Amino acid sequence: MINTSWLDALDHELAVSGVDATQRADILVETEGFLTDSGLEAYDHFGPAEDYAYALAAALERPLARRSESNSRSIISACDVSKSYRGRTVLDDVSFQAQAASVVVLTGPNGAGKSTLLRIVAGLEAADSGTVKVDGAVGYVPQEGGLDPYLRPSDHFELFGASAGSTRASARGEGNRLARELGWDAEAAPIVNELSGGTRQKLSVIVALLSEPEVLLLDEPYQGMDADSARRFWELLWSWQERGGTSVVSSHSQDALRKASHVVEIAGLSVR
Amino acid sequence: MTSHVTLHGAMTFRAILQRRFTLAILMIMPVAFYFVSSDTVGRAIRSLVFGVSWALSTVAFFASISARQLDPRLELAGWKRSHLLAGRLLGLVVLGALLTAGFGLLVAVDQDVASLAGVLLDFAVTSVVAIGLGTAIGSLLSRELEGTLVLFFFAGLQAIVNPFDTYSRALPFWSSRELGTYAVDGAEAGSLVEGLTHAAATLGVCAVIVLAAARRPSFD
Repeated sequence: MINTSWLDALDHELAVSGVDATQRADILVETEGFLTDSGLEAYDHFGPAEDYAYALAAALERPLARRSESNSRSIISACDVSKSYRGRTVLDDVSFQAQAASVVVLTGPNGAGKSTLLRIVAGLEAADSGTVKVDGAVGYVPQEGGLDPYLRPSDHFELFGASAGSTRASARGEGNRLARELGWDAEAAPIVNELSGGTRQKLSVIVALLSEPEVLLLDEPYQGMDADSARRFWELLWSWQERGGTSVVSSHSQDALRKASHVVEIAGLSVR
Repeated sequence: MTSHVTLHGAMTFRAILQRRFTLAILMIMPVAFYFVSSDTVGRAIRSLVFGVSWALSTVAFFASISARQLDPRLELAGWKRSHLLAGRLLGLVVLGALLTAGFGLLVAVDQDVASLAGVLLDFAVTSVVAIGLGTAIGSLLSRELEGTLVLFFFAGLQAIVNPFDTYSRALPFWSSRELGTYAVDGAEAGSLVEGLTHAAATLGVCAVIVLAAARRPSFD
């Protein structure tokens, strides 16, 4: 028996990856036909629908097309950045650039210095040596924290919206709209302390967007989010990218690597 | 500028009110101190003021700790650090004013004091000094337990030190006792000027600490 929810998920993921409706229909017909003929379980044979969709999209060169959308203007330029804490080197001459309207993924093992590098780029921490230039206002999403545990999401919307000149009502409206895009109803949400980890991360992403930055720095932004929320997060990020936004995302996730315009690997200090 | 400070002040006040249980304990404490010593006017008022100093400095400390998470992001988003600090202090001052009014009403109804205005002044000055002290400690220490213990240290010393010893003036709430004595026992027993001068000096030290600590931007 064919797992229709898997096929639905595949269709959704292909759409997210930019595969057009005609090609999606062809792929679904072929896949369904194959599964019917072979009698195989979709998941057993293809794995998660999300992974299979991205493999297909890569074959169709959709991600490459997305990558080519970024223009050549450099928005972030980090050059030979080094940082040590109490004699322990966390970053050693790390360099990377991010072009306008691109998604750069920072990857590397735990302790490689991804979070430190983001904080340095955000200006929240000083590098021991090297230079960092950022052309535009920055929004920062920390791995955890960065919110008032005793305020409601709507309070956060008002505070961050105020920095962009929004009225309290319009900031709440925009925050709630972005929350819906992430599959979350924030209107009656309780204080941050009573939210789940994944929901806090959604709030953190939303408030960063509310201040209307040119650059978003996101430290493991979808940690704790379920698969659907993570997918919606990427849709939101791409939609923002299409409007000219530049983002740097630190992540261990293979999924994030597939979705990036560029990947910067820290630890081996190689950049591809 | 004003609207930003007001907004941040309102949010600070709102966040404090959300800590209902903590707030209730902190507010009950001054009242408990008061009622166990209400047989003597001077002792009752000094106990109440002592409780207010402990409660408000602790609330101010908690507010500073919470701000360590949010304020750096708000600054990145375009807020001025001075607006954030002013807003936080505004929210705390509003809380202090409400406490002053509430406890002032309690004293007015329950005690026969020589100068109710003096008692209200004592509450008000103590509230402001407590907010300054809690904010200063919150700018130095990032963990709730450490900061609470430091505040307990100050409160404990304040409770056991002989107020007539010169070194007692090194304690942040010496002014509270002096102003309380002035309000209850009259000008021949306590000095208004010395009390206010001590409070101003304490606030000056707190301001230097807060401004120096504000130079380092970071999440904790």
